[in-house]
Amino acid sequence: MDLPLADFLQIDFPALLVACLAGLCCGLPGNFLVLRKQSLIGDAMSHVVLPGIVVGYLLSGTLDTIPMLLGALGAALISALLIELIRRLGNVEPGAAMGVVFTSMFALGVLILEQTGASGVHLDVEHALYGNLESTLWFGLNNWSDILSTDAFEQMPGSIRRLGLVTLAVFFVIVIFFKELKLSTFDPAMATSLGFNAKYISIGLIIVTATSAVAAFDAVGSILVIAMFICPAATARMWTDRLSSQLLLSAVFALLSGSLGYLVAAFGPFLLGADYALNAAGMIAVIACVLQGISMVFAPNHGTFGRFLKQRKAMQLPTSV
Amino acid sequence: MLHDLFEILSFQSGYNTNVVLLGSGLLGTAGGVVGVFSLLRKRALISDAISHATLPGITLGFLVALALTGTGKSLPFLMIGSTLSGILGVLLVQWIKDNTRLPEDSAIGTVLSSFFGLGVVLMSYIQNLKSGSQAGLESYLLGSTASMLQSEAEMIAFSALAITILAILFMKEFGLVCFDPEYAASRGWAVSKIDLLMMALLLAVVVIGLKTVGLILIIALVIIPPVAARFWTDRLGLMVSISAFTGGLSCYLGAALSALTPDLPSGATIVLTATSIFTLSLLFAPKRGIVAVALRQLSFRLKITRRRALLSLDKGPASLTLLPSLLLRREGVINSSGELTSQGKKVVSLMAHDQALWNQYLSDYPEEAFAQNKWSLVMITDVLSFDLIKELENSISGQNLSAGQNLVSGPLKDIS
Amino acid sequence: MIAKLLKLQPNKSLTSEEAKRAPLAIEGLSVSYHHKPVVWDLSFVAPEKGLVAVVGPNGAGKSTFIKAALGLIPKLSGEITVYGKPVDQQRKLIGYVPQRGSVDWDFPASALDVVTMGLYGKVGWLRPIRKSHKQEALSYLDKVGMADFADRQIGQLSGGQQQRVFLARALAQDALLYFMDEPFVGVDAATERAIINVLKKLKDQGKTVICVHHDLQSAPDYFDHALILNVRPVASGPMAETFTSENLQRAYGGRLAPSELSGLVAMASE
Repeated sequence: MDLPLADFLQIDFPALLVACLAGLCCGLPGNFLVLRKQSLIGDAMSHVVLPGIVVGYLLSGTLDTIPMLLGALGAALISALLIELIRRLGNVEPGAAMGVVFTSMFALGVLILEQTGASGVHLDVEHALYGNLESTLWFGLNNWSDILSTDAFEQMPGSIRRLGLVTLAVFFVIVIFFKELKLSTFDPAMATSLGFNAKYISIGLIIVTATSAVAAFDAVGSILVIAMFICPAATARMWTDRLSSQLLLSAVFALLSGSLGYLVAAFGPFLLGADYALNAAGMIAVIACVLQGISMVFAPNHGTFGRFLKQRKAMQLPTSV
Repeated sequence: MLHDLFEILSFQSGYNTNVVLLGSGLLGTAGGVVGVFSLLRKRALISDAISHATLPGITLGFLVALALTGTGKSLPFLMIGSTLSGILGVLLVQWIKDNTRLPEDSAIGTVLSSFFGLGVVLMSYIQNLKSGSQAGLESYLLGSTASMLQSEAEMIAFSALAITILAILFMKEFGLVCFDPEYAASRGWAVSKIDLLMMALLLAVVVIGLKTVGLILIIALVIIPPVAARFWTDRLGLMVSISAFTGGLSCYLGAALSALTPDLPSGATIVLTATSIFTLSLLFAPKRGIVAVALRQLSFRLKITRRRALLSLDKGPASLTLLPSLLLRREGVINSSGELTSQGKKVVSLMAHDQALWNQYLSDYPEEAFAQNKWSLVMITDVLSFDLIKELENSISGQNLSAGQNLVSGPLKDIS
Repeated sequence: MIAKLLKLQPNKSLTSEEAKRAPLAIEGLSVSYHHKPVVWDLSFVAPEKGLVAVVGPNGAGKSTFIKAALGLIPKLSGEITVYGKPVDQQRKLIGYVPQRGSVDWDFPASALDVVTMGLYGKVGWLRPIRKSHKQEALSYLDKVGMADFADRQIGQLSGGQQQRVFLARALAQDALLYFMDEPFVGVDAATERAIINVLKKLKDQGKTVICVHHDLQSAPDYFDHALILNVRPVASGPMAETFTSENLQRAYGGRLAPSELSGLVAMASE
C-alpha cells in the first residue's frame, strides 16, 4: 500500500480531525448525562435535530450553517420541553416520554425531507444517520508544515472550523461551570437550596448537549453522536471514582476511538487486500464500544474480571494467614 | 385523491394492497398490546436497543443468504439474523445492567450505538460487493411497504395476529408481573419465564415490523400507542384495548396514506399518524389531558383561594390581593370598597364554621380525615354524615367551654 | 402566571418584632400535593437557639413543610421569612441535610468532595474551589470523626458514615438555621451519637436546627422544642409543654397505643 502524504493530509487528516473533535464535543458533556441517568437524552437529541435542520434549510433556502444550527437548536429545546410535559402529565417513565417525542420528531423530519424535495440536494436520511465523515476534504495541504500556513487556514473545511469552535466552547463551559455541574448532578435539591438553581443548570446542560449534537451530527451523523455521548464517559466510569479524572479519561477514550475507528475503517480493508473503505462513523462507534467492553471486564475496581480477582484474593487471604 | 384514499381504506384496490393494509393494521395492534406491558414494566426504551441491534443481524443474514442461495434478499434469513442479533442485544443490555455500575439507560445507549454502528459498517461492506443485489437493505432503516411482496405481507399479518392473541391470553399474568413482580414471585408465579415471554413478544413485534416501519422508528409502535392510552384510563384492560386500537388504526391509516402517495415513506407516515392520535389524547383526554388538568388545576386554585380569602375575612378586615377580591366582589361577599356585605357576613361565618368543623374532624379522627381527599376543599356537609357533624359540633362547643390551652387556631405564639 | 395571580396574600404580614428576629417565621403556609392540601394554615415561629423536632404521623406534611420552607416546592399561600427576610435572600444562612436516599451513592465523588460542596454557597457562582476550601472541608470531616475517610468514594462508606459526611457538609455550610430531614433513619449507634454531638454543638453555638424526626420515643431526649404536625399544626413549643397526651392523641389518633402515650408524656416532662 502506497499512500502519498498529500493524499493523507487532504483526505484522511481532516476526517480524523473531525472524528476526534466530534468525539470530544459529545464525550465531555456525555459524562454528566451518564451520571444523571440521562444518557438517552443524547440519543433523543441526535434524532430530533433532523427536522430542525430540514426546517432551517427550507426557511432560509440555503445550505448555510447558521439557520440550520438555529433550527436544530430550536427543535432540541422544543423536544426537551415536550418530554418534560408528557412525563409529568402522563405520569410515564422519562424513557417512554422521550421515545414518543424523538420518534415523532424524526418521522416529521423524514416526511418533510421527502415531501419538499429537499432530499437529494444535500440532505438525506442516510447521511443524517451515519454522516459523511469521508467527504471532509482539506485542500491545500501538501506537507505537515502547511497546516500552520494562513493559506491552509483559509481553506480549512467549514465543518472543522465549526466543530472546533463548538468543542472549544463546550470545553470552556464545562471547566467554568464544573463546580455547579458537579453539585447539581450529585444533589439537585442541595444545589437549589444553596442558591444554584438546579433547574436552570439542567436546562443549560440540555442546551450544551443539543449544541454538541447539532455540530457533530452535521459531520458524523446521529449514530456516532449517540456513541460518543455515552461510550467514552461510560468507559471512563470503569476506571475512576473522581469526576475530574473521569472527564479527562473520557476525553482520552473519545480521541482514541475517533482516530482508531477512522484508521481501521479507512485502511483496514486495504491491509487485507481490498480496494474500498468501510463506513468510518460506524466503525468509530464499534471501536468506542469495544474499548468500553474491555474496560467493563478488565478495569481493576469496577470491571467484572477485576472484581472477581479481588474477591478471590479476599477469599484466599483468611485461609492462608 | 379523497376518492382514492377511500378506495384503499375500504380494501378495494387489489389483493396485494389489501394484504399490506391488513398486515400493517394487525402489526399496529400487536405493537399496541405488547407495548402496554413493556411500558408498565418500565422497559419502553429496551425496544430501542432491540431495534437497532437487529441491523448487524439483517446484514449478516443477507451475507449468509447470498453465500448459500446467491441472492441476499431472502426474508427468512434476514428475519433469523435480526432475531438472533436482537436477542444478543437484549442479553448485553441485561449483562451491563447487572454486572457493571452503569445504569440501564447507559447500557441501552451503548448497545444500540455499537450494534447499529456494526450494522452500518457491514452495510458499507455489502455495498462494495460486486454482486449487484445489495439494493433494498436500506428499506429496513425507514420501512417501505411499497416494495413488500405479497408473501411477506401475509407472513406479517399472521405473525402479528399470533402475537396479539398470545399477549391477550397472558394478560392476567403480564399485568401481575408488571404491577408487583415480587408479590407475583411470592405467589409462585414463574416471574422470569413470564418476563421472558414478554420480552420475546416485544422482540417479535420489532422483527416483523422492520419491513413496514423500519428499525429507526419501529419503537414508536410499542411506545406511542400505550402512552396515548395512558392518558385515557387507569385500568389495564381498557388501556390494552385503547392502545391496540390506536396502534392498529395508525398503522392502517399510515399504510393507506403511503400507498396513495408512493414517495411518502410508510414508516414516517405511520408514526406521524400515531403521533396525531397521541397529540389529541395529550390535549383532550378527560383524565390526564392538558385541558382537563389545567381546568382541574384552575378550579382547585379558585376553591382554595376563595376559602382562604373568606377565612382571612373572618379574622377581621383584610387586604386581599386582586384575584380573591375580584372573586368575592362578583359573588357579592364584599362591596366595591372591600367591606363585607350583609350577605357576605353570612358566607364568611358559614365558611369559618365549616373550617372549624374540618379542623375538629382532623384532630378527632386524624386517620379518617387523612384519607379524606376533599379535606378542606368542599363544605363538610357535602361529605360527612349528619351524625358525625353533630358530634364534631358538640366536640367544638365542649372545648370552648373548657378553653383548651393548646387549641391552635391562629399563629402559634407559645414559643419564646 | 395564573398561579402567581392567584397566590394569596396573608391578611397580616409578619411585622411583629419577634417574627423579625426569629430564625424562621411562617405565617399561614398552605401546600398542596396532587390536589390535596398536605399542609394547611401553618404558622410557626422557630426559637432562637434550639433544637426543634418536627413530628407527626406518616404523610402529615413534615418533609413537605421543610421543602416549602426552603423554597424547594411551590406553596399555595403563606409567607416565610428567615431572620426577617425572604428565604431567597438568606440562602447563605441556611443549611440543609436532605434524606439520605435522595442521592446517587455511586457518584464519582469522595467524602471530601461532598463536604466541600457545603462551601459552594459561600464560594458563589463561577469561582473555583481552592486548596484552602479543601482544608476547611477536611476540618469539618474531622469534627464528625471521618477525616480518615476523606479520599474514600462515598459509595464505599457505610450508611452511618455517609450520614456523618452529610452532617459535615451541613456544618461546612456554616449556617445559622439548619433543616434536617430524618437524619437518624437507618444509622448505627456510633453515628447516632455523632449526630447528637453535632446537634448539641450547634445549639451551644446559638444556632437553630429544625429536624424532621420519625421516632417519637427519642424525640424528648434529643430535642428541646417540638412542632407536632398533622396537616394543621397541632401544637408547638418547649418539649414538656408540647408533648401532652392530648396533643399527641390529636395528631396520631388511634395510631398510638395508650401505654405508649403515657410513656412519652412522662419522658417529655422530665
